[in-house]
Amino acid sequence: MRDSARGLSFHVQEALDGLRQAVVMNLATLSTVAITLFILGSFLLFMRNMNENLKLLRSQLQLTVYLKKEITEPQKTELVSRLQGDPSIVNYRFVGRDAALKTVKEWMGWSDFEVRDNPLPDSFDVKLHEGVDFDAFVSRAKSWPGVDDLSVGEKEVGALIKLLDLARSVGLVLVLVLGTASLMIIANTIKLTVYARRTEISIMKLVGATNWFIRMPFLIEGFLQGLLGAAIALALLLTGYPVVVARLSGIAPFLRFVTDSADLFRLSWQLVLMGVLLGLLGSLISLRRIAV
Amino acid sequence: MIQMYNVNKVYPNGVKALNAIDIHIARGEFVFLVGPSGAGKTTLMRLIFRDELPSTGHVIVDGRNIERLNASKVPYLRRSIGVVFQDFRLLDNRTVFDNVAFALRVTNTPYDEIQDRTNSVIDLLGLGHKKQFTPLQLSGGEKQRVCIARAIVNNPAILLTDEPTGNLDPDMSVEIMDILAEINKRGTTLLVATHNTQIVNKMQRRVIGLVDGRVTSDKAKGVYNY
Repeated sequence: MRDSARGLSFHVQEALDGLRQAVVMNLATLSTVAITLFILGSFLLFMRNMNENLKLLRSQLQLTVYLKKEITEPQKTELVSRLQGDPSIVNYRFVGRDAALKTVKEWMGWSDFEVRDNPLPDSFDVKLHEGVDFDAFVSRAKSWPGVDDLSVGEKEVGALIKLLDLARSVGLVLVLVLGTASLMIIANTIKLTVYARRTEISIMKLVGATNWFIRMPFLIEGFLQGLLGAAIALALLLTGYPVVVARLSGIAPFLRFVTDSADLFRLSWQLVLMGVLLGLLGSLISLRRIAV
Repeated sequence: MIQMYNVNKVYPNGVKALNAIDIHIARGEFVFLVGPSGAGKTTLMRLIFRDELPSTGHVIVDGRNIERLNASKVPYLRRSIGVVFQDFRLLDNRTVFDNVAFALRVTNTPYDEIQDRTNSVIDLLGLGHKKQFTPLQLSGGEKQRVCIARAIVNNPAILLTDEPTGNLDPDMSVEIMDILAEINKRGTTLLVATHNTQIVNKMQRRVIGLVDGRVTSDKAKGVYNY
């Protein structure tokens, strides 16, 4: 136990020596990793918040279920019983076509305008429970008897979803590009360290050190670069995020923000994991050449 | 201990370094390898610690066929072979003690054993008072002794030395050869590649002559002649 601890401390010592030997190069690597992870973290937070607000928006949306003009009484009765029995529905309200016309007229300022043939159908205003599968409900309700169509602000929600998808794709490409850049920069830094220590490595091989023993300090070096990069990115995110939230809440009080510590904790370990993976992968790329 | 059967070595650039080599070296032997520069002495040594593989033929070291040796087993072969180079290959930023202990540290030797064995080898080579010096503070002969100490600290069965006196004055050369003879007396098989005529002639050991990659002479109690 004591010896394996000493063995590990040998590797860590060698790794720290490696970091010390090329300070500028390592600082450059560290900043790149930190920037990449900061952008990744910001992106994850943005997506998380967007999803949260989309959910909120959907939960606040009221659906209108339009009935067919030729709907029969038995169909109407069955529809009511379906509305009553559906677990997704909080409440519903019947809106007769005359009442609907009146609402439209008031809304448009046409109170005095005489409409001979009311084009509007009878309808139900329906409010759903928060978090229910919106799309599933819409497709279900469309198959109910006597239902002509649903107006759900579907288009608005759809546009928002498209926007989110676009943001997700752009973010993903950005993170991929930056991640690859970080990977290459880490690999390059480690390659320089390997070059700087070629005498040590040749002696290690000569006296019978195993490949993994030789690689270990460089892996630790990459690991530390990733870990430190993640720590810097996290520090920036966790101090910057509340400020941004406070600002935005002032400007747009209707927005909901993720401030749950469990959420932020999950983000933290995701970033740390990404950093460590980047670091280890970067070192592995440059260590392929170290072989017996 | 070391057997080579019809070994040929051609480097990728087409240079034929070894040509139909057949050599058998018994356990505990002291062998000089002589020949002009470029004769293939260094290549022959590099085959023994599997720094190179033969193009054709077989190299057997301590019962292990090196070209069939799994890559993961190579480090363990090397732990049974000490290698000393003319250019020392010491780490200038580490002390004499750390340079010697390095060979044990990187092979996961227990801490107490590292201390004991390093100290005793350094004492054996007469460097006890310079343990905390760095190589930059040592003379050529002292550096060569540190190099030998590092090569023998894990009690290898074979010690390969490539021009161990190449950078040293005659007195220092004699001193180094005496140390090597002492190590051989303790049972280590010793292979010394050298250009040093005087020493070869004086020591009266087996001498293998190598010219253009071929063995041209192989005599017990030989002289510098190829």
